[in-house]
Amino acid sequence: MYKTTTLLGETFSFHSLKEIMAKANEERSGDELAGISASSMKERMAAKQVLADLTLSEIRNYPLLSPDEDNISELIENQLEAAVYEIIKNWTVAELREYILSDQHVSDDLLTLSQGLSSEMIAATAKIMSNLDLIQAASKIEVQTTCQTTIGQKGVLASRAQPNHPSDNIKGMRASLYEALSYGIGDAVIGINPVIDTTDNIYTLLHETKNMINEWSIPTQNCVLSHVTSQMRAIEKGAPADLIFQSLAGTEAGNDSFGISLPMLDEATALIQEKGTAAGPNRWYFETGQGSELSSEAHYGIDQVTLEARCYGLARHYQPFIVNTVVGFIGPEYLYNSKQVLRAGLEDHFMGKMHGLPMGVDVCYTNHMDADQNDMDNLSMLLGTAGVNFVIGVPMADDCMLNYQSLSYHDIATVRQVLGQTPAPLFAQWLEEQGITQNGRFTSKAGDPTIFMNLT
Amino acid sequence: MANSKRDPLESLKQFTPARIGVGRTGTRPLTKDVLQFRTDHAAAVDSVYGTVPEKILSEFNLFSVATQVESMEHYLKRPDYGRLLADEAKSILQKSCLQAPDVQVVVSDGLSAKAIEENLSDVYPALIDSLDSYNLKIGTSFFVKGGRVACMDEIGEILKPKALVLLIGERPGLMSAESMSAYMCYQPGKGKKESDRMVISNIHKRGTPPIEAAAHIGTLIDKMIQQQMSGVHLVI
Amino acid sequence: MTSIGLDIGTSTTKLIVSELLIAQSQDQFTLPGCQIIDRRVTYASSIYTTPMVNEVEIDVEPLTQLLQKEYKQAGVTLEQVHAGAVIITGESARKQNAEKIVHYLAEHAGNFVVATAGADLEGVLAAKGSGAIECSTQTEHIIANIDVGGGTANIALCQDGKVIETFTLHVGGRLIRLDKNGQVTYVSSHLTEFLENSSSPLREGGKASFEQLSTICQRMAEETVNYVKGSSMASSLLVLPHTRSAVQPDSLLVSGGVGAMMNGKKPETLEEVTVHGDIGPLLAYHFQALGVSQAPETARATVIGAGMQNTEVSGSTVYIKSDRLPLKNVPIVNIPVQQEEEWEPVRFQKRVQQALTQSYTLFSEGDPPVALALSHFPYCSYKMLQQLTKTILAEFTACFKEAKCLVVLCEQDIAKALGQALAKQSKTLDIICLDQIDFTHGDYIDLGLPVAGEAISVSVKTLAFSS
Repeated sequence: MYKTTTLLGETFSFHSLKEIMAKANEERSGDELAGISASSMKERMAAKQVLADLTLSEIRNYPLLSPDEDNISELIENQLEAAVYEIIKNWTVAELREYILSDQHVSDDLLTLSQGLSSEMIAATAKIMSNLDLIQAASKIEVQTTCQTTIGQKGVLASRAQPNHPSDNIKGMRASLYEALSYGIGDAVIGINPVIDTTDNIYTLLHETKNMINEWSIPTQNCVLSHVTSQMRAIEKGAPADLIFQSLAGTEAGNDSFGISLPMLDEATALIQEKGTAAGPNRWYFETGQGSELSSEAHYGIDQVTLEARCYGLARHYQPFIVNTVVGFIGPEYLYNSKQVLRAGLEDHFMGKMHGLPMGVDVCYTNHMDADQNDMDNLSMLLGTAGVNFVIGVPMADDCMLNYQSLSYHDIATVRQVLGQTPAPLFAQWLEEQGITQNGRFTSKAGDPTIFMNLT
Repeated sequence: MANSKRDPLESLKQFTPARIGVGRTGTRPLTKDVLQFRTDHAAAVDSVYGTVPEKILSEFNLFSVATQVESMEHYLKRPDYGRLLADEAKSILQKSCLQAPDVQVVVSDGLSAKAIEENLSDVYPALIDSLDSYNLKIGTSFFVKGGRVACMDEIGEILKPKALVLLIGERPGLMSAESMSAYMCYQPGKGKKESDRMVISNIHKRGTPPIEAAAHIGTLIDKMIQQQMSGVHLVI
Repeated sequence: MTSIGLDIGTSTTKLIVSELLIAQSQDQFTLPGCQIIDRRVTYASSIYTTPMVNEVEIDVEPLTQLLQKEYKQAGVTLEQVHAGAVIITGESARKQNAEKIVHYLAEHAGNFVVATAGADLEGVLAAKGSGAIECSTQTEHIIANIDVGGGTANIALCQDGKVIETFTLHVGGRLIRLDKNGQVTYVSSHLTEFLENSSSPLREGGKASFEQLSTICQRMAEETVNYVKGSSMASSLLVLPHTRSAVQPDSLLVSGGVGAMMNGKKPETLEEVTVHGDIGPLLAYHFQALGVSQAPETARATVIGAGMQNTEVSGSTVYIKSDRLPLKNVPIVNIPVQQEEEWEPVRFQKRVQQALTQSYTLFSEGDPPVALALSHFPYCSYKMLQQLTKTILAEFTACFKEAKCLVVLCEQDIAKALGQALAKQSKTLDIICLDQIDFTHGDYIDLGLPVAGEAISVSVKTLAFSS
């Protein structure tokens, strides 16, 4: 593909779709590190202009990474619903943007449209959307999923309790979880990142989280976020898991560096469907994040927004219960400052929803990024208004195991209150029964973790 | 000995370093906890952007060389430049350092200058003692400003030590902004993989004890040289 | 690793064989660690009546035969036994008994078996074996384990997997013995004051009614529970003077022979009470009536504790430059490193000097003569390490001029650095420096051979026989 355009008297030429897609991105350090970003603001706008005029069929016909070469490309290609694609193939990316943003088109229309869109088409749209476009579009899409409980309803902001501990100490995790529950956090999942990735340890942690759920009849699901193979070994041994987890990359080589393959994910799907402890159909939990393919040198010169969209193409194949981007975790060489993190968070959320995914975001940053907690306040409010399915909570925003900052339990409660959102329905009812809320408002018990101690 | 009846909240808090039991006003945390959190973040950020005092380097006769990194922003955005020595640095090393020692010790600020400032005066002399106790020939130690872990490889190419120890500041967390890691590699050089390196992390006053870590590094280096390898297959 | 436990008590003797599984931690980012990951009982003997020559003296000959039979039945040979403990408990821990048995067993029970006794340690072992210590790691509660045997009740208060306080009461099933008609054959002299206080005159040779016995047992259980709970601060039943701390346990467990009898049934008649010719069943009932629970493991708690729990492994980064291992019965000399706010080298030097001079009068013969156990260890800088090392070497060599081997123990992970520093300053001494050892409840230590990497097995024990 060769395109030229003249912008304000200057002519810009692009030699491939890959180049157009990369240069059309809003500025971010990862694209600079890969050496593929626009060299000036004008070049960036020229790329956006060119991209807006491309048709969807052009995007399909010029694959960034051939399906023969990469099984993620193949999987995404095979997902396309021919009937839908035939209707829209001559739309330009600009027209796609306008269809999505039109008042005429509601959630169901967009979810139908989604079936005819490839991950690259969705990424292309995101690149010509403003932040508010991304919020407006995502807020229209309602994706409900069911594991033990159902989340994703309009007006529901669910949350993952992440009670990590630097040495996987069970009592320490319980203490942190008690705190989470007392703030109404944990309706999406109680999910632990373990330090020690052995079968025995995963087995123990799955049991412990399940015991806590059973002990207090908590309407939620458990998950231990280790490598999928160690979870599989633990589940084979009889460990109770509602969800099975894996981090995804947007290329075959990227997934290879994560130590996973499509047959492995298929095998895990069969296992969790057979031996998982949940009642509902959606039993996967996936995490993604811009930059992971570049960091494992598996990016093929493709920009990180497009690669992220391809993760969602992969994820939707497995009908997950929850997906989240860990947007600010990867570090400043991929997203340098709060502006870049904020943009990426909104892009990822929109692109995930546009794939029909139950999209959540880990609103987070590390200490060597140019960002602070005020930026997380901003992003969490923006995502709340965009209708994010769930966010992640750790005590006072400080994860003492992974050494990064996310949202606090307080922050999630605050976003819910300010935006008039609630926890998942069954969980909200459970909070009332525990006396933590009364008619949806905090009682004096809220924020007191000791109410869950067995004081005999 | 414990006090009579423990406060249930206190007994919960002792199980985790997580910031729990903090209470609330409305849905927001209390002022002291918010300010404490922001203070810890400030310490972490300052340690990224800080510099190692010259005094502590001269105390151990460490001279300084630089990588190809030009500024902190450059360092953060371009990890590849932190792996390469500046041209001047290469000639200094060739001139000033003992060639082909048993073990080369290198110190770098990495992502936390504070980590070096706080721990070097315990780790470094204890490490030298430990290496001495195994009768190893120690090279000329020096400091690399703006180094990444993989700068070990280029240094290895130039000085050809049997083994190399890099003491480097870790990415600061809120629990500790002054945590140091020790990376070790047998015959570092081009083409070495991440899995060839060994690491002891979280070295600081409230983490892995600095002098004990140093004593153990000596044992590991001795084993590397004896077994002529490093990485997961080293028999410890 | 095969470990045995042998408990020779006032009324019963029992043996267990257990397997300890040791693993090195796999985390590649930290210093290596080593711990016992599984302790499993592979054989438990029946509970025998302890063979006695008379009221107080143990008959060694039949005991020996019994032991040989049990070893054979368990399928273990002496060579296989690498760890474990023999514990002589309660009123049988008299000097003449203990010495005889200890000597005999040292030769006949297995290479690494430790002879040990003493009420404090009994309480600790019972709490380990009963499951109380394990319970305390799983909850936020302080748990009291009351191990009630024939003659004494050993109490250990447990918190977060550690024993924080121990004491012993004269409370037991066989302190009063009688036949099914109520004819009293024995009343322990330790109960005299208690019985007077409760105005329940009971004489040997006299007759006791069911009601009378019931009142005595109820009061005995009440007094025990009140003292354990800390709601009363004194008891006439204390074996040794004890100042009750303010610790108040959240829950109470009873183990031991009396614990085993807590089956919820109240004995209704004298005949039901005296099935064993004593007051055990009635005492058990009254503990239960006070709402105290039965421990997960009861009659065999102490022997399980002795066999499975008494052996620990040292830290994995240690310093051993000596071919003297294994070493047995090395006296522990506890020296606090820093009792003050700040590290004060001069005061430390005084403490080392004093402790070593004192121990010299007791233990000057062995080599190593003693093990220096450094408690109250603060964060140790390189500078402090140098001062510490210098002081220890100077005082040790000044005091034990003949000694060729220095053993230093500490709780914190510091042994390799300390060992290297000691070796650097002393070219003549053999240095053994071990860490991650809890020596709070012991007077002697046995040092075994390496079990995984550099880590060695150790047993901390007490040899304080009551005379």
